[in-house]
Amino acid sequence: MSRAPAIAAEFDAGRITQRDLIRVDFPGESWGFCSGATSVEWMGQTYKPFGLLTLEDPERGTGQEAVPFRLRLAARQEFGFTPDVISTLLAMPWRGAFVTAQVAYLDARTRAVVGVEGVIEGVIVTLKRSFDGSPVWEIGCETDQDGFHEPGYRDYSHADQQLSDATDTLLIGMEDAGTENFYFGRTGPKPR
Amino acid sequence: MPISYPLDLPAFTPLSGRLTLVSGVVISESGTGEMVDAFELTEPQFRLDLSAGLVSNLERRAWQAWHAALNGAFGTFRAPDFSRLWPAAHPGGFAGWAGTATLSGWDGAGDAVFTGIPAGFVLTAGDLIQINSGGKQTIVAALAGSTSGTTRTLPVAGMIGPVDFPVGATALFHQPKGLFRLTDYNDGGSIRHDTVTVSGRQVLR
Repeated sequence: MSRAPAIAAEFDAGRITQRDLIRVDFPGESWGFCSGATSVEWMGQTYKPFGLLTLEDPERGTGQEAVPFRLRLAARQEFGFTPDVISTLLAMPWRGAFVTAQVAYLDARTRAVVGVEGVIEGVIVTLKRSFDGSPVWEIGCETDQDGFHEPGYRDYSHADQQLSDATDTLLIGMEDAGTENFYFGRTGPKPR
Repeated sequence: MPISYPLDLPAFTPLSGRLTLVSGVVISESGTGEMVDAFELTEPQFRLDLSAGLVSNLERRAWQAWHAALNGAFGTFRAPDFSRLWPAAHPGGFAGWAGTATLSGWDGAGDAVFTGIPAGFVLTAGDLIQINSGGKQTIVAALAGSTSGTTRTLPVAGMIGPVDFPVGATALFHQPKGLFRLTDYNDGGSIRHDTVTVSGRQVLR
């Protein structure tokens, strides 16, 4: 697959204006972060700059195992991302929130977005506050292969989660496609 | 009286200082150097290098109080380019005009469109323009001159984008200032007359 013509033209000119975009989708609202010094708008979402972005361990696999990766966001006071505001992430339903990392290519003159390419997608698993020259949020994510089902095994379901925490509705929409065989009063398969 | 940021520079000291636009473009060379690609990772940002010449002991105290009020880089401050305080064609300002216009849009080529400028105002390439919108403040350099009309379409360079500085932003052509955080400060420290030097990096708010 070739690149979009507008991006290809910029690459052919040896002049690549790029910003990294991170979008976090919470139920009902999305937060957008971008690298660089000013905001970027793409598909109705305003991506606001923050101080630092690293995307660690974005390995890919073809299997059904979720692959971890880590994002680091730093506070950027000019755009309202004070450490305090970043801390409000904790009040959001962050666990399992969908994270999309993309690269936006901009027109070198107008700084209009000419195209966006995906880097990695996943869900938030851990959130950690740290300090690295400025307050930093480390967002531990993993790709969403959890949605795939491995046949023959029982899925941990919403009902199971309700037993441990009746207020946690994270798994409420989880598809219950797995099956479990109980061998009661009859012979099961022989152990291999 | 509470300190409110951004601070202005101490008023009475004669100053020399300039703003340098630092590009956010990095060069990526292949191993043998045959291919050179340019990657722009961020918009250009101004660096401030300011010197207050020889200051007296009294003036140094004002600088020391200013520095203390900033608390290092905790506070922001406004500073102009003292060699580009006024438009090159109108030292002291265009007569009968306060220097305020409106950023009324961005054309298809990415040039900024300004309205509300006196017809006879002459803008020279390299003149600076301050732009304010929604609590944010930036300063940009005009990349081309313009001699007539009440609407001017200009290529500009600086820390600016159509999302953060949309249509309707205020543009100031007289004594434009940028917003900075302190990166370096030195007041000499000798009892005699000594120089004060200040460096800063541009921020938007």
